[in-house]
Amino acid sequence: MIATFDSSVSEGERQGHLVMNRPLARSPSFSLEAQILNEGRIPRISPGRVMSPKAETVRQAIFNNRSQLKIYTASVAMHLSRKRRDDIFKQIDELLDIDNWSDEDVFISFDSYRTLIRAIISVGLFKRAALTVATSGNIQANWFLSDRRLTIECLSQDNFVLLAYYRPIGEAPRVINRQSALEDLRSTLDEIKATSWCMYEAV
Amino acid sequence: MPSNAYARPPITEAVIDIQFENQISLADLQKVQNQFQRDYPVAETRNQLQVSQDHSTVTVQAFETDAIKLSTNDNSDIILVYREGLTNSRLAPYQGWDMLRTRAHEVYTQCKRIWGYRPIKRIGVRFINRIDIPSFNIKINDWVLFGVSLPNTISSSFTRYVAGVTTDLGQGTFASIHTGTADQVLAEYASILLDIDVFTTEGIPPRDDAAWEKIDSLRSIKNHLFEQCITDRTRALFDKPGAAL
Repeated sequence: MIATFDSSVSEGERQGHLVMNRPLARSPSFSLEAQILNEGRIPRISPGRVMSPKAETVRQAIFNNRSQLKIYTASVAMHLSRKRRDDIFKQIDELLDIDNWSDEDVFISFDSYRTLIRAIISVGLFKRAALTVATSGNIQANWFLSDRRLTIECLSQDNFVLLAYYRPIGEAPRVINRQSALEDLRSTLDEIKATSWCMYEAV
Repeated sequence: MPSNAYARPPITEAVIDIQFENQISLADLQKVQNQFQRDYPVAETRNQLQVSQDHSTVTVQAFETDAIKLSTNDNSDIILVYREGLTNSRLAPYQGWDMLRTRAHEVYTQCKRIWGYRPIKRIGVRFINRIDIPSFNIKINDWVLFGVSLPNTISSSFTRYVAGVTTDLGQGTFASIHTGTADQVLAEYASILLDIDVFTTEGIPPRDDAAWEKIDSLRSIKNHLFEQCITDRTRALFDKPGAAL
């Protein structure tokens, strides 16, 4: 490669050459992806945390938590339908309701939420789940049917705890508790015969 | 080359940036903040800092505000008003050029009412894309035709890279193209970033309508460069029917 310090060289001469000029600044940007390319490295903190101003009040903290989750969801929005995204946002708003916040309510762990979204996109089409928050801050996806129920608690780092309850005809109720990583989630659901409870047929 | 918009564009951020010949005063920055308070209620200020060291003592002094970032409640639309200019940014989900342009034009028009006519010295259109590929092990050139090459003596298997180039398109217009790997956003996917910033510093018309036509033309150049940088396999990812959950 040839470096050319004279910017007056002709266009033809410039082909494949490196023309040293004053550095040209790029247009300002705000996304995590831009930050990676601007700085040449993966930022150590997640995008939601970067963008959330420091909380001074509970109200501010709720707002920050909600924003953090929505920003992450928006960053993968191209993999979610509008309907699905709106449904998730509606449930986040209900779980992190500024006007009805009580001392028992807990914030949603970003790492747990990230696991949930990655499962929705990677594993398949979860049927609409009722979302709840465990006291640990982990988000739980729940499916309730008349004779069965399933709770998938999302942990950090793409791990899950599954709790299934069902009553086979003429038999005593059964409770199944399993741990699973994301890559095994589908097979774990198959194993406990709960796939049809929470997933549509694969498209 | 596809003429229509993709069903699932990989755009994580779209930016229209306008910079002026003369600096914007702090008072005008604050007027802009007040003007947009209702629609962009989340405000963050950036202050200039001066750091000086005298033997073992480090002194940090904060100077006055040099930029104000205004965001919508969901943080998807952002205005940055700074001493040199005005930026409008839309984070994912991208809703199309018409929406971004209309919003940016409206913001520009309202700002102009505050500070009057200002000659423009630079306009830029920047799009940052994250291409999510459903595989762990990918050959970069199958997806993006721009990147790094390594000597034969070094393994061609790598986990992370960043590469960039700024190229002179002539007549004062430049394209700054950057690519690299992203953190694994989705499980079982690999992600490649493609950031294209097309900007010009010459021949910017003084009339607003002509200046905005120039912005449109930068966007067309950006689209052309994007299509040049990707492959048909990549295009198929953005158009795959029924893939969005």
